[in-house]
Amino acid sequence: MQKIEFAGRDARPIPLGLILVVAFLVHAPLLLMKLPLKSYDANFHIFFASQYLHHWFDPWNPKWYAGFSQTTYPPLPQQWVALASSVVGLDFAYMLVQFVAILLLAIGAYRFSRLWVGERAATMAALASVLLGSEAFLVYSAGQLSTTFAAPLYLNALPYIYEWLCERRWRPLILGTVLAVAAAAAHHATLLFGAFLFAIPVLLLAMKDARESREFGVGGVIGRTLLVTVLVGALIGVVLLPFWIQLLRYPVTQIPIPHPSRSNFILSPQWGANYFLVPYGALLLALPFIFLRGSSNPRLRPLLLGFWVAFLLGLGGTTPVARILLGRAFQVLTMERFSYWATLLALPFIGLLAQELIDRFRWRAVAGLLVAAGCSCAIAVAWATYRPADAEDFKVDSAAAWLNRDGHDRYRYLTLGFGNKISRLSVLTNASSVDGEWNSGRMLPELTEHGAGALTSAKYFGNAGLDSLKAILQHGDRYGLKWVFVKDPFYEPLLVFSGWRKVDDLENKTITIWSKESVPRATPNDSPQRHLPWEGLLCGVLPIGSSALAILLLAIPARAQVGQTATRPSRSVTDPDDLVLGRFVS
Amino acid sequence: MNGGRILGIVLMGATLALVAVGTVWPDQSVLFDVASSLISPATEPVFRLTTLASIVPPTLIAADAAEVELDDAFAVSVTLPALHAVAPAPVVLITLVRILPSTVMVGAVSDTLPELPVEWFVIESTPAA
Repeated sequence: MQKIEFAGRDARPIPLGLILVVAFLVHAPLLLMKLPLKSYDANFHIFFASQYLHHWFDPWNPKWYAGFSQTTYPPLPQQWVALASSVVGLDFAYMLVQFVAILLLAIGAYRFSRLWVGERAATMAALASVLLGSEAFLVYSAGQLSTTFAAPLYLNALPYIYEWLCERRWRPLILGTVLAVAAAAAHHATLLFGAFLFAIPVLLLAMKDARESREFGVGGVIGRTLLVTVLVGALIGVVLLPFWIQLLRYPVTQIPIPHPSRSNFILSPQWGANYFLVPYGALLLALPFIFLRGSSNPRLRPLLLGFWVAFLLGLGGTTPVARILLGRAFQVLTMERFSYWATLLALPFIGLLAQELIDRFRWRAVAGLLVAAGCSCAIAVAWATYRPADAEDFKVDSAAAWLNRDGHDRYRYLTLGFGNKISRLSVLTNASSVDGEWNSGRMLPELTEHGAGALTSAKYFGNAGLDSLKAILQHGDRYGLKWVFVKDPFYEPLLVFSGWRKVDDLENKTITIWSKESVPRATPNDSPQRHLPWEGLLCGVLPIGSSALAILLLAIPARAQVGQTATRPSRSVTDPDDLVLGRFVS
Repeated sequence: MNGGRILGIVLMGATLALVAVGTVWPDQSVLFDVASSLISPATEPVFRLTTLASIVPPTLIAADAAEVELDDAFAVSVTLPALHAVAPAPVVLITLVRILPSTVMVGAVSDTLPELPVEWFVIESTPAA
């Protein structure tokens, strides 16, 4: 009797509200601990947000590269951080926006999964998204706020676009369009590369459903696809106009900078662990299920195709696929985002697998799945501790205070051995640096012509890094470069030979300050890259406006939708006929 | 066997084949670019040929000079210097090429500063036991 009651309860979908509570319980403590601040890029986003906080309509940021334009990076998440920071401060505002992105992912995973699988499996996919290793890796180790903000918006937009393609209703068209535009305003790489991996399977699904439906034909779906593509494309063109102007005027022609996500993960197993094992976690065990079920069920084949391409691209240099498909972009992009997208595309499969395992093995399956998902999430969260972004954790407050006093900020500075602490330092100080962490935004020839990343980590880029450093030290007078903060004694002989001398020290002499005589004051860099005032106005209004419009429209209830599900998959894969072909667990 | 399932098996097989191709013949363009700046013009053709013919693909390494013993180079973990998480000073750059049954090492050792003389060398050694 108890068994029957158990099965009855067990067969219900997990309430979405409960999934959001789980997301809160898992991620809120970690975010309140400000764990992402230890990641690679969190401080980078906070630095961008600080510019919007103080100069909302002026994305020209003088603090890096002697001045650069932030229109080279879509601004939406950073602008939300800036807005929220006026209430809770920059650090907590970052955590808040990141938490919203996590919640949006759970909702998006549910809505996107409903296109492919039944209600119950979709809720399990949403729950899996909360514990997803790749999400935890990007949030707590990589600090990729924009990537983790944009992808959930696409996942939420696509079911609306599917509805428009299949049902020709205007409300889904408007909602899907506004959400897609907001997603584009959040991250450019997700727009240019990830959006297709998500959208093409949905388009193929709509065409498949059109063939099987008597209500609408394939021709109609293609026509509506063209319409929505043109509409979304045009709006993205307008909303991100300053970004496109920068990209067209100054395309990324720098010498490629090496990145370990492009390496062969078998020949470099340490990077294989970092970019493959940790992000995928226990999901790797589900790969045979994904391939076999995805191929045996016609409805899931478009999704399998999208997953497979993203999976191969995420393998970086382990296969020749990414190099061939992406061309030069392979040398510019980092590949971990493709693994992230692959795991998102795998979520409907995971929901389906979880549902079947639970139906078959009951509590043993529940326990096993929770342990597997929990371990995946825990390892990815802890990875930031085992493989920290910075080899050494230290405070930069004293360096910022030194720069801010006695007129030191009238000159520019450079750090050596600070790792990605330079973003934090840039937030705290008024002074301007010739270095920075946004490689695509820099224009100084000393930095772009050598194929190295940030000067503060010059030695890790071998000869290219040291050549770049020597060039900037040689031309320091041109940029008003008077101060060099050294955390790594490796660079001291180079500074001595270049005519610099030690003038002060901080933090028990672990940071030394070097200077040069007769350096002229730093003057504003009159760069041709500087945007026009109307571009700053657009940057300050349209991206945030697109997201505000999306929130407003979503808040308006649809009259005709009461009692309907979010999407209308014509046949979910929980239909008995579909399970016969590829039932993996039975 | 169901036709759809065959597709899945084919995709899995193709994935493994692509991984094998990428591992046996990895992209060497970055390696060649860096090596060209390190190796003398006379030894560069040798480097390229041996690289293409090698069983274990060569990689540039960065390691503590004090810890690197050239006779024991195989014990040194390999990675691109730019990618090495913590490369203590002074940095040694070595290109390592392994051809069975004999081993040829071609590369450069640089001391702390790039201004200092760079010692070029070509070493032949016996294969690792």
